Amino acid sequence: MLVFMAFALALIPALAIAYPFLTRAGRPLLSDEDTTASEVSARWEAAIAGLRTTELEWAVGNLAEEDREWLRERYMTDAALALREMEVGDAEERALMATVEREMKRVRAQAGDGE
Amino acid sequence: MVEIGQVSLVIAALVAAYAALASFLGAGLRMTDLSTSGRYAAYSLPLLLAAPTVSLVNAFVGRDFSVRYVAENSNLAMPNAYTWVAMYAGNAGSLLFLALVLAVTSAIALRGLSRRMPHTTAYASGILMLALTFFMVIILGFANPLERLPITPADGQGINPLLVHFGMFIHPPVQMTGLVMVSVPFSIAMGAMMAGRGGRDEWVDQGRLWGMITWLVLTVGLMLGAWWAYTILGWGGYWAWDPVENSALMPWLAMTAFVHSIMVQKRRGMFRMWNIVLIITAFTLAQMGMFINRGGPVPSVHSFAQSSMGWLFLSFMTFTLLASLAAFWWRAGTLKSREGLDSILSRESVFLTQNVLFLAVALVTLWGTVFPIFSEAAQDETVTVGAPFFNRVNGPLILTLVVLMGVGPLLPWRRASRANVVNALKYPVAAGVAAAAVLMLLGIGRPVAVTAFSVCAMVVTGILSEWVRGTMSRRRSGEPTPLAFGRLLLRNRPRYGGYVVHLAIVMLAVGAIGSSFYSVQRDMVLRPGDTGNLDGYSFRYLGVEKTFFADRVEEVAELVVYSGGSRLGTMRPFRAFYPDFRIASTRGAIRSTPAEDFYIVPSEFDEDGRAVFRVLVNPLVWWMWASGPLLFVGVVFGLWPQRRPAAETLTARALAQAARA
Repeated sequence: MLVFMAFALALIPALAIAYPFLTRAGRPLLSDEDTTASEVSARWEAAIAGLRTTELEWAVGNLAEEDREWLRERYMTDAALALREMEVGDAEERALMATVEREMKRVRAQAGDGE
Repeated sequence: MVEIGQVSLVIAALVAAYAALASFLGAGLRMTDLSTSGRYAAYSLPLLLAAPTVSLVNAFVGRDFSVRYVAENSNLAMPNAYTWVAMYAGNAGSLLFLALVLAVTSAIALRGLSRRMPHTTAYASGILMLALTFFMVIILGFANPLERLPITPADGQGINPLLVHFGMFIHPPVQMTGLVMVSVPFSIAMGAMMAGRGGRDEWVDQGRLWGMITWLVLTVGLMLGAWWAYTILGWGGYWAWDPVENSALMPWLAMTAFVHSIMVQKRRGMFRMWNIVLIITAFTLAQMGMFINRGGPVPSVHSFAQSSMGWLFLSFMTFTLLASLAAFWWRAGTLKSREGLDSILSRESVFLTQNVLFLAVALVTLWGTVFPIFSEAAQDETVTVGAPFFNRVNGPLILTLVVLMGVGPLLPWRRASRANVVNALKYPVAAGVAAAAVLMLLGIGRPVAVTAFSVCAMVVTGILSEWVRGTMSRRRSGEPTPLAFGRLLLRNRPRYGGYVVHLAIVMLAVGAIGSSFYSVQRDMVLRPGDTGNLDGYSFRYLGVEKTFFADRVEEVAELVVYSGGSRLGTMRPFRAFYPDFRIASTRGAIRSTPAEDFYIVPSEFDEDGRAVFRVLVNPLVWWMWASGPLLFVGVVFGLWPQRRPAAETLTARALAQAARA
């Protein structure tokens, strides 16, 4: 019984260990997501999050108008630069920035639907 | 059953070692199959370690005293309910528990990480499995909980009486889980760094998620420990700056700094090196905690899980610290920040200051904790550092941290003008000043306490005023007040979850300030029928009832308590003596209200009927325990997955578009 149980217990990790080798189908070299794309994506997301927070802070009265304008300009520049690096077409870029503007307007009006 | 557990332990040790090796080799050589094999091996470990755990629990339930650990930590008189507590009551069992928790959390974390970041995951897997291998080597070589005795005793030695308490079902496992879980955010950060991704920010979301979960578990563990000390250790306090308490506090401090600092990396691409330093510090301090808890050279009142294996933990801690620093040195060039500080008046600047203060408190605590070792080495005399040192040095630092906790969220990212700072802080500061004035008028005149309470008032006002302004803002778009408030919170969960946590911390601080500065204590000798008085309370001692049990002699005192002429009720504190352990366990009787706790604990019963009681009135302690559930809710609320807003989800579209082009 002990031998059988030991065998059964050993079988589980043995199968787990062997599985990737048994099912190998020319997997690509181990690497994380494309660096440039994910870096740019992170910058875009940080810019959008920054814009949204700015609008929320302004809507709840934490931010003076002067600071809000300064921050908005910075974040919009960051977002535009990120899009430029993504090599998005002009039309798509305009559409995206328009969507961002709409989103920010909504955040302003409703004290931030999602920070 | 025990033998199956033994076999499973051996297999688990081999599999963990394989998983570590395959993960590191696969990562280094970029061999996907090998690293995946290592990760899959890690997935099998929870099952392999569940087998010995079940074996051990089964041995306890069946009172199989042929197993040394069962014989040392239970007896026939032990209630079955305490089987779970007995499992981790000693060193060997608690190590098995730690290994199981590490295996389970590793499997979950690796699964979540592997989809986006396979290269990082391979290194993370290697680190986690290396830690698990270390535990397995100790379990098999030095502290095997399933080891058989040559001769089976008729009865066991029994469980440590101090552990026979409801809190023991939760506090030790939660505390141990928190300490071992620090490995997870550490492995993610180090994995990203080793894969050359530390200077990128994709790991930050997973690092923050696991950082927050770990922080929550550590916090709950600390609070439960304080509650256990307050209710069972019978000295009327909850925190004694004991080395074992400090060893749990230090990684908590570093993790608190980390979960704030990593937000700056996510939002600004800054503090990349700093975050790695913080998580290395947290991991090292967590190991320091295990070292102190398991045979470290520092004297402690905690007898739980003492062993002579401290040197093993010290060696592993030294090895991982040196390896981490070497990896940091190797990859330092990739960790440059994307941006710099725009202004000293900004949220990230406050976070940085706060980080430094958290580390300062941790270092002060570390110095006070290890001071006896240095004093012994220097002058052959062990000098311990007591609560006055910690309170005097850490007190102002912690108060400054609470101030920053109030100021930070009110400042914007990047830059705030002076006008903005004045506008954001005018109401909170006014509330702080008003609170100070009211307290002085009420005669609560101790400057430090008044300052501390004022700071708390300032933080609460800052939070609540923002909630009010946010709700009003939503109301202007036509939403009724309750809906506006609910939506404000629900749609900004991370932000408002953080505020809820800050409110809970203020509650905790209020309890700590009240009980530290205004606690009243007196030792009294009473005979049956005598009445004592303290701070508006009077209490009549009716007598003591002595009962003999198989494992202990229990003496339960009965007192009737009055306040302001009205009877509050009967209180029954007790003292139990366990002859087999030569341990006396006292249990205070506590009448707790939000205003204050009336706490009475017996220390001695004489044969002639006299009894010695320690009586305390501890103001505001109730708020400390009430803060725990609120803190838990705040963290869960903040971490709860949220639908990503439209603009952010456009990223995927934009990237897809770019790929097509």
